Order: sequence, then structure tokens, then C-alpha cells
Amino acid sequence: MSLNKLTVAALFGLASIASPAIADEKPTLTIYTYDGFSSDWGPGPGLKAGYEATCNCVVDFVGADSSIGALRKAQLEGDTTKADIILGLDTSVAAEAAATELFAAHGADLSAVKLPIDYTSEQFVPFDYGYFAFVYNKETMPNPPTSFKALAGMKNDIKIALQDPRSSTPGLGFVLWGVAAFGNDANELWGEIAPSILTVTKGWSEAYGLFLEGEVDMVLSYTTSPSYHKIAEENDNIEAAIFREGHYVQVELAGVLKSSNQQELAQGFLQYLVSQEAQAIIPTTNWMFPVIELAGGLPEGFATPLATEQTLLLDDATVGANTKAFIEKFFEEIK
Amino acid sequence: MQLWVRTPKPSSKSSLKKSNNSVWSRFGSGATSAHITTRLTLGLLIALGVGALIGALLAIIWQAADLFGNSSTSSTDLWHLLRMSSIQAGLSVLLAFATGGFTAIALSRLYVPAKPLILAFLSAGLVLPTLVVAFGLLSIWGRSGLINDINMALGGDRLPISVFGLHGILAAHTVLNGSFAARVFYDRLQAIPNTSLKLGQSLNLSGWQRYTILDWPVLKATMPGLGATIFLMCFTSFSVVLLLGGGPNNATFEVAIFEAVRLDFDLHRAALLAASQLAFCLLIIIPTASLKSTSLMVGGTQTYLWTSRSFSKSTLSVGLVIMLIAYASPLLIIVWNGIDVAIIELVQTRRFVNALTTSIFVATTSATLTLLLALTLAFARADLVYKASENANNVIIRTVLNAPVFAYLAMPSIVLGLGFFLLARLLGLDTDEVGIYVVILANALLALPLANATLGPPVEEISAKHRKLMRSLNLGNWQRITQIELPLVRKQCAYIFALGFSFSFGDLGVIALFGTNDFTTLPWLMYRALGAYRSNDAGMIAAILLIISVFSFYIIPKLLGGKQNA
Amino acid sequence: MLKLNNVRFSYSSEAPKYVFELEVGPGEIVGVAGKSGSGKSTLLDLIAGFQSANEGTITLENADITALRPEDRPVSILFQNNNTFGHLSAMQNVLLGGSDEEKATNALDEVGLADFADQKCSLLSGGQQQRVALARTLTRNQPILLLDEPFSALDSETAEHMRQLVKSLVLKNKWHTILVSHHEQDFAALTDRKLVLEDTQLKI
Repeated sequence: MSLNKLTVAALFGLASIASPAIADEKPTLTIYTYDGFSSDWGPGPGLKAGYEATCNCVVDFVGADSSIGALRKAQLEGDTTKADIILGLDTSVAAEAAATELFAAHGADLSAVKLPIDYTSEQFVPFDYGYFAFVYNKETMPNPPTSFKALAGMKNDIKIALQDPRSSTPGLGFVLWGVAAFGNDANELWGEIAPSILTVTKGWSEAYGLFLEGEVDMVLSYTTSPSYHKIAEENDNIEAAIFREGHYVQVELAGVLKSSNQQELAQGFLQYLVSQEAQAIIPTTNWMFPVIELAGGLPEGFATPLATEQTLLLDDATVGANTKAFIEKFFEEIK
Repeated sequence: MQLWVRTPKPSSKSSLKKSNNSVWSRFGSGATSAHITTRLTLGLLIALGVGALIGALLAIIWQAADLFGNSSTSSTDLWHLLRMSSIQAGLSVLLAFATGGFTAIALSRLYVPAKPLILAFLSAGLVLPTLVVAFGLLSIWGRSGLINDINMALGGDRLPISVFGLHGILAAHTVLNGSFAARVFYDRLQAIPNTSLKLGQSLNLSGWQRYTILDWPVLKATMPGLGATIFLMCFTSFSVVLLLGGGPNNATFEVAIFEAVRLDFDLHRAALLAASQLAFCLLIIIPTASLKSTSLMVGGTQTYLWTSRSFSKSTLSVGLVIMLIAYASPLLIIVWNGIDVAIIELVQTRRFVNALTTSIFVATTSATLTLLLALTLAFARADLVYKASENANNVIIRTVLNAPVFAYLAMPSIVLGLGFFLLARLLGLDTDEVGIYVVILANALLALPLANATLGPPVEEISAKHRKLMRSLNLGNWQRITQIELPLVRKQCAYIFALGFSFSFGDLGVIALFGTNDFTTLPWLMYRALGAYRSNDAGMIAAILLIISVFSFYIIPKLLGGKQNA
Repeated sequence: MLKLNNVRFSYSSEAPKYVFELEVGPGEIVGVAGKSGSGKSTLLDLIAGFQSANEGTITLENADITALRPEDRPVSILFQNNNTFGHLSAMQNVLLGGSDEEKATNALDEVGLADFADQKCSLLSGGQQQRVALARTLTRNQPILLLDEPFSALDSETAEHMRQLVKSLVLKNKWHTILVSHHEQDFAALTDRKLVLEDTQLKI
């Protein structure tokens, strides 16, 4: 009996994992990205449909477990990689990615792109961005801190959740944020915030889960997180605390691999990525800001981008050279 | 009239004297006097195969470092991590044994309604994604948890206890592992023959005497294998430790490895760190792997219930209820939180159905694989006892049989994922296609140590107890397996199948680099939902996972386990 | 006098219904024979207290012991095997009967195991293990002795010795003894009366 069950299950399973037959004529554009992007809740499906409508090709998103994972996957596959594009790298990895010399010049027209800071790269096309911020519930915390200094002063009156910079991008972003805002004084900042830290989790999901469960008052996330709750859940209580010192920005990038034999298609996709049609998909699927001015504006209830003066970013070179040192100092201070 | 015949008094200097108990003395003479049989060969092949796989994975990673990867220095204090990991793992084992042992003993001494359901529940804790259980704990004990809510509703202040810190980690680990230990211990206690129970009761043995004379010898035999497994799982428990640890002071060694692989892409260091973690764990694994099973209880045909009375009964009852609530509450609250009207819609979505069927396929296949591997290993172990003379040691072979299986647990999943990926590439396989098979293999190997610890002692004991008879009848291998060994351990086999099945459902696998789009399992779907702000969906999936686990532990033993399947 | 008065029992509503009526005097050994499944073990279970009768009473010298739990019944039992705890010594096993060392030593002496007091029981022969159990029975000196095929696992010579030993101890200590067996030699050598369980009924 169990053998029959096994056969049926096997058939089911194989059926569900068999990839759809790919028509011989159409070339395939393979894009490595992080799982969240390619899942059907993310922008992947919409972008795929949009580009396939005009490119006469098949777009295949392949999801690795994280953005860095996508890069590593391509690196490990070397020349035989199927990937044409790596999508979803963020600015903190950009330096290292560029140094791999795996990426070709993108050649896209980025005149419509408007970022809160100056970011130019020959290899990478930015397609969305977000600001790190602490998110809180205005019902339980009517008076959130309005600056890092204020947060540092709250000590035991507040509980926050952070992510481990060694295993999480927002975690790393937080450390860079502190350094960008305070320079060498960041170390003092960590020490003062330490009593408020409830725990440092492996990834964003765990920390955010703690926040939603009410275990912490604030969690490190994005200024766009409240937008999800407002729009998808019609919950107005979640807000992002805007700090006087400014917020660190995370720009997400995409690049074409030199090894790809679909250079034209790939570059075409990158161009498509910054078009009105593609960018309109981004806000309510990836919950980040589009890089161009949308014709119809941002969706109702969506957060607003911050001004340039409020935006912080460390340059690639600094990040590349000092990440380890920053992280080390961070841990020293919060122990 | 002489009513008996005087037999000569045995000399005191016989081999019956208590042997030197030092661990390493076992590796002395007699260590290699085993006869090599077919079963033994097969078992050794599997064990060495797993060992070779681990070695290959590490070697490949090391080699890959030359081709890609950077080198850098670590920003973490390794000794501290090693110390912390060991302390929390060691304490977890002790707590799991204490709570699990108590629960098992209480269950075997009281009349408890719905025992099969309770037992199924006890097994489920271990196989769920650990994060689910951790959040379940928080739902009860956390700042905004049930306890605090009740307390404040009754007018009290917020309780000063914080779940975060070492005690939080230990609590989560105890819930996860203690419940499973209880299940395993209970199974062993059920192997005590009816007549021994009746004898003990007729002699009016006290509760304590019952423990020392009947229960303890049986529990003792299971502890090494079970303990080593629990230690290793707690040692490598990553996200739970970070979640409940309250800060970097309580991180595990795996954080350093994660950093090397993910952030720094320093593969030399990653391989080195993984190898050192493995080497350290071998200190625990090797002594455990070399032990012979000493109990002589087999079969689990117990039908008689010797209930405790009066004071003992009330203490045990109260204690049992407390234990069961402690174990079950984090799980029950997951179901409570997760069950929502929206679940009806969720289970009909294509993505859910896909994930469910994939999960079932993967789970069934890897459970079968686990069972086959565990049986082969168990039969091999049994042969060490079968053909040998009474006191032969066979320690080295025994160690070789058992150690690699445990060693697999000592490998961090990120290293496994990377290693499997590189191995697949080396073999020229298309990584997008083989992802599912890697997951099946990885899950099977993950459940194998537990399966081994559960199945090994009973099979070995059958040989120990019946070997003279079996040998004198000159039973062939096939006969031995089908007519004697399998029927006697049918219950355990069914349980192991359920275990492998549920483990696979709850495990997120090593598919990190393999590409996850076409191939999704339920736990992966849950994680995906969590990452997309959809905590409600994630909660519903978690509840479904739990129900499936409990259900399979309840149903599979009934279906496959033969008549006695309490 | 040990009396079973119209003791009725069945495991469930579909299971066979047993009816037992029995009298055993002090120092008397009553044999009970019957086909497998006829209820021999059930009879002993009921007297020992491991099962509770649905109806009827069990009395010893007119004291009603029907409601007593097994721990409290004045009964000693000898099973076919597993009569001792293998990992304990002979002395330790006898001491479990609740006496002191002196009594235990005497008892072991009486059954001929004086030299084996510190021997682990798992290393003793079947007959020796039964004798340890007998020694324990001696120290407990309960008025009722139940024997559930105690000699079936022994070779004929040892079994013969054991029968003689049991008989002499029963007579000496005036135990009310019931022997369940299907060996004719047991009945011939030991019992004063032999009853047969037929169709789950046993009446004297």
C-alpha cells in the first residue's frame, strides 16, 4: 500500500517540478536573484510577463536563498553558468561584485533614473531603493524616538530587535548606517544602544516577527515596511521612525554577466527594468521605492522618499575595505 | 534426602568481574575480533559512504577556495563561540533527559487517556522547523505572550521574566528535544516484560525501587545515542540560538562559518571551521559510537499497566500534566494562532498545493531511504554481537559503523549546501534539476542519526538475546531478517518512517544554492511568506505543518506498525 | 482456607466469561489443568490482583481480599521465567522480599544456594533462578503461593528436584498453593487434587 502511495506521490512530485517545455525557437534569458524577488508575491512574475511580451524570448528567474547567494552561485558556476543577469545585489556588496570582473558594461540609458544620492556604475543598473529605519507601532508607542541620540538615551525603556550583520543585509546596513551618521563616534553609539537590544537575529524575518508579536517595540527594517501594512492589510498603526541624523539607503542593482551569450537580450532587460511599466510593478511587490518618477505617482498610502539631505550612503570603496572592522567594533560594544 | 545438587562455587577471578570502565580501555585487546559478514559489509559501506561524503564535501570546498573566494580574517571570537555552544548543548541534553525521563516514567505508571495521541504530539516537537517552536514559546512566555496577558488581566504587573538569554535557548531546546526523549524513553520502557512488572508489583516495590531496578537499566541503554544526537543538534542550532539568545554572547559556532561562506566568501576558512567543528564534535561522537547496547529488553509486547498509587500517583500525575502542558503549549498555540478562516482559501491556492505535493513526495522518499539505511546499519551492528563470542569487543568496527552517521549532524547546513552544490557541479549534473534529489538525500541523512539511535539498540538486543538459538538453527540472513528481526522491530520501523517523513516536512533543506522556483516545499513556502511580510500566511502554514506532523506520527505507526502500536 | 466464591470475570463484553469456584486449604497444593486459553493464567491474575473480578469474592480465612491491590495481597508468585531481576545478585533479589540479611541468608541456605548469594542472577541457571525466587518466597512467607507453569523451562532432572523442594516448603509453611500446568509429572508429583478448566468454568 505504501508503495502505491509512493508512486502516486512521485508522479505528482515530478509533475510539479518538471519545467514547462521551452519552445526551441525562443532564447532563454536566465536571471539569478533572491527568492523573495522571484516568488509569485514578488516582482518576478510581473516583470517576466512584461518583458516576454516584447522580447520574443523566455525569461527564467532562478531564486537563490539570498542576494549574495545569487552572486555566489554564479561565481561558483564559473564560465558554465546559465545566468545572464544577476539581480538584487545591493550597494554593500557592489564593490566586491565589481571586483570579480564578471560583469559587463550595462550600456543602459539611465537618464530617467533619479536616486536620492549620487550613484553611478558602469556595470550595475539600480532598479529600486529603500531606507533603513526603525519600525514601530503607534498604538503601543505614541512617542517614538526621533533621532539616534534619542534612541540611545532610552536604554531600558525600550526594546529593539536587530539582525546579525554577518548573516543579514539589513543587519549590515544598520552598522553602516551608524558609521555613516557618526563616523568614529559610532562605537559610542553602539555602547549606548546595547541595553535596549533584546536580541540579534539571523535574518530579517525573525526580527520582524518579534516585532509583530509584540516582543519588541521597534525593529530594524525599511521606511517602506509600513506601506505594506497600510495597503495590503489596511492597518495604519505601523510607522517608521524618522531620525534627525538621516537614514542609510540601500540601492538594489542588476548587472549582466560577461559570460552570457544573450548580451543583447540581457541589456534589453536592464533597460526594460527602468521603464515606466516595470518600475510601476516594484512598489507593491517588492515594497521598495522605484528609481524613476512614476507617471501615475506612487500608490496611495505608500511611503514618501526622503530628501537628499536625509540620505546617507558610504561609498563602495570604504565599505569594501572596512566592513569587517565595522562589524567587529559593533560586536565589541554591544556585548 | 538431598533435594538439590551442589554445583561448584564459581571462582571470583572470572570474566564476570566488573570490567574496567574507562572509555579508552575498550579499544584494547579484542577490539578487532569480528567476523566479517555480508550484513556487516553492507553496513560498513553505508557508514564509510557517509563519512566519505562528508570528507568529500569539505575537500571540495577547500579546493574551490583556490578557484574563487577571498581570504580574510574573522571578526569573531572562536573560542568563546565554541565554549558557549558546548555549554548550551550540554545543558540542553541534561534538561532533555531529566524532563523526558520523568515524562516517560509517569506515562508508564499512570492510566492516561488518549495515550497514542499524546505520544504523537511528543514526537512532533522535534521535527518542526525550530523557528516555529521558538515563536510558539514566545507566544506563551514572551513579553506579549499568553502568560503575561493572563497575568495582567488578573491585575498583576508584567512579569519580570525574559525569555531571552541562555534560559530561553535552553527552554526551546528542552521543548524540542525533551519531548522526543520522552517518546524514545517510553518506547524502551514498554519493552519491559509483563512478568517483571507483575513481579515487582507483587513484591510491593516502592516507586524508587521500581525506578532503580526496572526503569533505569532500560533508560540507561538509550542515553548515549540519544544524548549524542541531541547534543549535536543543539550545538548546531543556529537561528533559534540567535533569536532567543538575546545577543552575540550566546551565538553558536556556526555563525562564524556562516560569515565565512556568505559574507566573506572565504572558502578556505569555511572548510577549516567546518572541519574544526566536526573534530570537536567527534570528541562526543566517538565514545558514544563505540558503546555496545547493554539492555536485554526486546519486543515491546507489554500489555500490563502497573499503576502507581496514592502519593506517588498524585505527584506523578501533577508532574506529568505540567510536563505535557510545557511541551504541548508552544505547539498548540501555533495551531491556535494559525487556524483562520483564510486557511480554506490558502490550501486551495496553486502554490500551496504544489508545495504540499512536493513535500509529500520528498518526505516519503527520504523516509524510505532513512529506514533502509537505518535497518542496514542496525543489522550490521547486530552481526557484531551475533557471530562474536560472549565478551568480544569489536570496538573499532562498532565505532566505524556509528560515528559517520552522527558526524553528519555536526556539519552546518550552509556547508552541506555549498558542498552538495559543488559536488553536483563536479559530477556534471544540472543543479537546477537535481535540487530535489539533493534535498531527499540530505533529509534522509539528517534523520538517520535519530533513526539509528532508535532502531540500533532493539535490533542489537534481539541478536544478543536470541543468537544462540538462531545460530543453532543455522538461520540464513533472509530468514533471520524476515521472520525474526523485522517482526520484532516492526513498531520501531513504523515509527522511524514517521520520523523521517515528518523531519523532511519540517526541514528547510540544503537547497540554498540550487534554485528554488520550480521546487518548493511547505516549510520553504512558509519562510517565503515570512520574508514577504505575510506573517498570517506563514502562521497558517506553520499550523498545517504541525498538524501534518502530529497526524503522521499518529497514523503511520497505526498503519505500518502491526498490532501492538501504542 | 482460600476460597473463590462465584468469581466471575471477562476481559470485555465479547470475550469469554470465566466463572471460578475454588477452595484450597493450608499446606494443600491444588493443580489446575486445561487447554491453552482456557483461563489458567486469568485465574492466577485474579487471585494475585492483576485483574479485578466483575463479581464474586476471594477470601482467605474468611477475610475478604477481593478489593486489595496486588501489592497488598498475601500472595507470592512463581512464573515460568523472569522470576528474578538479572542484574541483581541472588541476595539482593531475596532481600527485595522485604526481610533482613539474616533471614535471606537462611532462606538461600534452605534452597541450597548459600554459595551463590553474591552471584548475579542473569549468570545463574534456570533452576538456580527459580530457587532464588523460592528463597524470596520463603522470606516473605505469604499464605498463598501461585505457580504459573514454573517448571516448564527446566530440564527433567532439575524440574524433579524443584518439585520436591516446593512440596516440602509448602508442607512446612502451610501455604495455600495453586499450581497451573499442563505437565502430567507436575500433577503426579505435587498436587493433592487436580481440577480441570473446561469451557472457562472451574468448580470444585
